[in-house]
Amino acid sequence: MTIEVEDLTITVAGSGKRVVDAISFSLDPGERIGIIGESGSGKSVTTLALLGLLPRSLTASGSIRVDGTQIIGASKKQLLEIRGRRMAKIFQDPSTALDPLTRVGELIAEPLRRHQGLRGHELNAAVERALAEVALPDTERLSRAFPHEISGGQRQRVAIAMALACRPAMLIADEPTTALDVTVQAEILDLIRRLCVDHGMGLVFVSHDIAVVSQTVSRALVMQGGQIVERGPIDQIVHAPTDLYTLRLVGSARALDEALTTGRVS
Amino acid sequence: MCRTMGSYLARRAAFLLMSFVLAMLLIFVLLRLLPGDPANALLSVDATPEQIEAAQQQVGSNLPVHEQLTQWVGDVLRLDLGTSFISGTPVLPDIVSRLEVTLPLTLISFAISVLLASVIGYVAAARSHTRLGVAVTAVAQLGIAVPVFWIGILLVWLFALELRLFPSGGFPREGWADPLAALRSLFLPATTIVIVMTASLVRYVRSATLDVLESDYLRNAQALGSGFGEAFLRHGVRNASVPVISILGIELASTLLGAVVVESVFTLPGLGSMLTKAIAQHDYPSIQGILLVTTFFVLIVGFAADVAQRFVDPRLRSSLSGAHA
Amino acid sequence: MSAGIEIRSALPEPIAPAPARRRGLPVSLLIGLVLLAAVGIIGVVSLLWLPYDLADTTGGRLEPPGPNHWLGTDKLGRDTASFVMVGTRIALTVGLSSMAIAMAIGVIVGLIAAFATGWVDDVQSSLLDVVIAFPTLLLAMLIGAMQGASLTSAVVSIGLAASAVVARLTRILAKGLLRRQFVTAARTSGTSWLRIVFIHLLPNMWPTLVVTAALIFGTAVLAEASLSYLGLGVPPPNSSLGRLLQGAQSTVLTAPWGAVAPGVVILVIVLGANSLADGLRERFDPTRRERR
Repeated sequence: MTIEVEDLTITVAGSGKRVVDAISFSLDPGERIGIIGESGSGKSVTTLALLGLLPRSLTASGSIRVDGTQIIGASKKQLLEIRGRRMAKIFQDPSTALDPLTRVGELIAEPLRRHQGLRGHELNAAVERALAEVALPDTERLSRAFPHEISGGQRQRVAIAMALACRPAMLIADEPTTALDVTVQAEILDLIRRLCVDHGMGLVFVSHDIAVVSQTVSRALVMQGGQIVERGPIDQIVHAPTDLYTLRLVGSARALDEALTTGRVS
Repeated sequence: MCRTMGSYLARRAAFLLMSFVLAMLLIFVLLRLLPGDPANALLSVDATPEQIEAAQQQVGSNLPVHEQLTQWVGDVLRLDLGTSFISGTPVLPDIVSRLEVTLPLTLISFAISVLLASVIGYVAAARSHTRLGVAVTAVAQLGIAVPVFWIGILLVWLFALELRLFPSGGFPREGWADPLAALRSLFLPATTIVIVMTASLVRYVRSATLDVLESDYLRNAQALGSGFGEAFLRHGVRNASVPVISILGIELASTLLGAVVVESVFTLPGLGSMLTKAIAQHDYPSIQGILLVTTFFVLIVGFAADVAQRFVDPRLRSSLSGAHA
Repeated sequence: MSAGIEIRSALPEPIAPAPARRRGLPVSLLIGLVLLAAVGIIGVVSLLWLPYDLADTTGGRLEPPGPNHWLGTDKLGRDTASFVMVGTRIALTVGLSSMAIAMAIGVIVGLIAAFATGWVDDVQSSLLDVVIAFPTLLLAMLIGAMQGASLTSAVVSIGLAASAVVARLTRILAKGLLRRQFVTAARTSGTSWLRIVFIHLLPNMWPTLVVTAALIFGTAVLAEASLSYLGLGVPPPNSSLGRLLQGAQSTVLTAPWGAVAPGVVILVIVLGANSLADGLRERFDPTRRERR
């Protein structure tokens, strides 16, 4: 699947403030790109715009084409055709992104039922397979559990399973590891990478953490204040950043890493 | 899951029983703490010592306090709430016959208020940035600042006296023998309560719905291809109902209280007018009985609301006082 | 992946510079202050000057509002405006005094309850639940009627009834704070509980308590009106908005104007108190603004 974003501008309804300012980028089928930036840089809003899911207080202008379909101003039907089926999203905090009152099995069954039309035994088997695919143990017990009864890492795996249930061609991951413990983060990153490779799935990986992004994608955009300040292969961004802001992000990542390895703050 | 729910039910029921006992103690102590001998209610100002003693004997106020207590508790357990000082009739049957007016009034008003508030509160939340949403919120603010009896007076003036659509007060002598006539006389009182209670409930429904509309799980469901309507019905309604259910108990209690006051406006022969009269006449057994019945009612409703909340929300099932855990 | 720097850790998300704090007062706070100031002025003026003496019955019966009697007269020929003015003062007095009683008793009881543990705590919390299950108005009615209806008994009964709510809230707030780390630390280091109350608990609780006080004030005014309407509140010769409405109800067909002003004043006081509470809440916790 391809995504072509041209001159995407997102404004706050009342004040006219631009949270995203005329950005353009594109994705080839199966490509994995990162969007790097601090909170407030407009990266999360951009991912919502890709799905046509902006809150009512924000309006988008410009062009977003997903496999040629224009998302901005698309009809409800067109959007439902794309959401989940061709493009799915993982949210930052799995403890708020999973309905606390619905059992894990039912959460995963919902998109399966909708997109693959599964019912009864078939559905149950598919739910178990989905749980197994994201390496969750004891699938039978787990599918009866409520989200608050499992760990944070398990919750994010469930969210990934939900997103994958529709076999999307493109996965949007918005800070998928930020809310998790450090040890769990690596596992979830591995899982996302493996699933992308296995399914030939494209990835838009959004993070404030340049280190995490560098392990996952081949190309990245750096956003600041709603604009793209730097773009290119991830190696180049990490090793030879041209933008001052990128330099700062890389620098602070290095400093932290150094401090952790040497035990000294430089 | 079932086991934790069962043990919760057992603990919550024990708590309810303990609350009953405390309520009885509290009512008893309160009435004894208040100055004045209950026997005075039976006496004229110039009563002779013999008359006073006879009255005390009849009322039981000459007994030591602990004996009065055990006697009263024993009576209550035998469902005997004593006899009215004034009318000389047993209190419990009187209360029960009054409930034929108060209970339908309370429950009908409450049910309508909850239904109306759910719809209005949802609209207020979903349209919170439009003029309609702001207007609904403002009207709700007015509604909770208005004395319930004032609404009653205005409704009487408009619909009973000016337009002559409904009776201005009273209740058919035959009670519910003619259900239509009974409902007709409950119409204005119920409307009065519904106006105030809906205003009160709308705020909770609105705030709970706003929380849900901004939630990640609703957006997540939509990101995975669910339409808004389906996502809201599947995930939104239940989540929004959790905080609303938790205040329904208190709101039902205040509906009952509203009914007590509104009965005075519309001269309905219910529990409220019985209580007002009993207080004015210092009719201790009636006061005690009514307080006991209403307090038990409120405690049972609180119990039901807690249990209902736990049926809906699995996160609460493990804790006893989980509402703020 | 292959791309370079091996960073095993995660960076904490940088915090964006805090948005400039909104200057000025929240709208609802202003509305609340204006409404309460308006009724407050009426109340103060009623102490110094009244259009007519309350005992003056020279006005003619049930006269409609006019230049002589702005709000008309009642069925005894007394000036309604004068009664409404005095009634406003009484309502404000009862509201403020009951609020003071409720807050004083409620906070003290709640704090004591918060320090209790084990079965004492269980009993106390269920006792508070039971007291709250006690319909406030019934309790007030009861106390008022048994002591003989008077201004004092109305104040005391409403204040006592409302103190249970304050006590429960205080207990929950204080319990939450006591579980927080800095308080636990103070407790284990042997700080006396009185110091903990004044240094750690009250400074963290007072915004919530102030908001609660404003709400209690409104509730107390409503309760006084209801009690007086039922004939169990402030007795004659004092004026009371609730009793004015009761009197106006019997003549509502011939003189509907009598039922308007007292109700409007009650509405303004309670609306003012609620807006004030909303505004204060916003002021103390600006992030909540978005929710309203």
